[in-house]
Amino acid sequence: MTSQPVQISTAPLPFAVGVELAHALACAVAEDVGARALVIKGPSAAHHGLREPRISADADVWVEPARFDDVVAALGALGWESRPTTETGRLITTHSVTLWNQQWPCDIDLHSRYPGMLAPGAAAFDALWSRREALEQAGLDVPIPDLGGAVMISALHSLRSRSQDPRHERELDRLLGVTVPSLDALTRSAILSLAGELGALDTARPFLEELGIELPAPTVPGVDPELDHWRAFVRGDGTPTTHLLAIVVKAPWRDKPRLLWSAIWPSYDDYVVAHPGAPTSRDAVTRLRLARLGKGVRHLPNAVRGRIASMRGETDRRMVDGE
Amino acid sequence: MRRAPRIAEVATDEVTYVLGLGSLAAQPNPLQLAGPAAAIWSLIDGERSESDIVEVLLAELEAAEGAPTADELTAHVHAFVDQMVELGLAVR
Repeated sequence: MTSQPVQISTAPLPFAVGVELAHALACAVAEDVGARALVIKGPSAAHHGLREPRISADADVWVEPARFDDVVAALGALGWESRPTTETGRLITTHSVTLWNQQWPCDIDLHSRYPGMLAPGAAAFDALWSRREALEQAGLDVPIPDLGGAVMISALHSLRSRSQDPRHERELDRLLGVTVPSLDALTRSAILSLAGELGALDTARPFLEELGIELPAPTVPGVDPELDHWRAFVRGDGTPTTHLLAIVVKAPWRDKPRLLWSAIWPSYDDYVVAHPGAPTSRDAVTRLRLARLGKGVRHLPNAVRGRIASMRGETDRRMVDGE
Repeated sequence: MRRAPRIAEVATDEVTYVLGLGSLAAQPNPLQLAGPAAAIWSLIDGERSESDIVEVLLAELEAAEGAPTADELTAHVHAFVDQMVELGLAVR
């Protein structure tokens, strides 16, 4: 210490520090508005040994759906804004909103529900909340799901996005190769019971079958449109084409042409949002639109396979089978 | 003197990052305390007074070259604590 006055640094926040503080911040803001919130994925999964500890890409926090907007608004008052998204992005991602803040190095991914949990959002949240545990983040306790809840989140996350990130495949391998063999009969049974409460008996079926417990018969197609959509999406390798095909199929006839067109040929505004910093000349935008169209066409056969699997009531097992 | 309740804190070797979750309206982003600021902050433990903190720091800095005088140190600690209180991070 010198004779100079004490200074408080304003240097950029390191990423790992920002993520840990963002988890604590989101939970505190939720608590302040009287909302329940659970830290999911990253630190929760690492705490339960479902993945190697590593720096998360963002802070994932699930807020009880009825108070979701209040928490978004409260974070908004602190400078956290929704990340701009494209029209197709808004159609595809309906379960969460990504918030960013210029002063922070990471985003907060605020969930109102979780993909693959087909029970009403409030019921699924309550099921996990009733089994919550505490985990220290930035010196304070934050609520996280218990082992069973974390296993279900991890399994659904990996099953849904196998082709999008090889890491998800590795995490499912770990879940099946390390976690499941270590579970006693009581825990396996509790996970199955939780899967029922979450509405995930069909979506997580390929994983649940590995628990070695008898499952109820699969739900037949046409009963639950969300389940049909999940089956098509997962079997279609989770590409935007698969998702958009399902959305267009499901949409009212009057909306189909517009949705189809915005998927095939995104507007200039959507292009800028989807490719920040990319060249914005007419030629550049056209080249990117054509590339996107080509990619969409290449993914079309998978998307069609997904629709067929969905119509047959099949839930994709390839990831579990190591294919 | 003590820290305010609900302080989120991450300490690295060099810097302590502090966010007052009970005073976000005053300071919505983390503060980064390094060097003297981190040293003073670490001594705010709910038991020591400001003069206790000055004494501890004086003892630590006794032989250091360019160390502040007792009066300078008292002024620095006082100014820092003022700032922490204003931001809702400490309570006198």
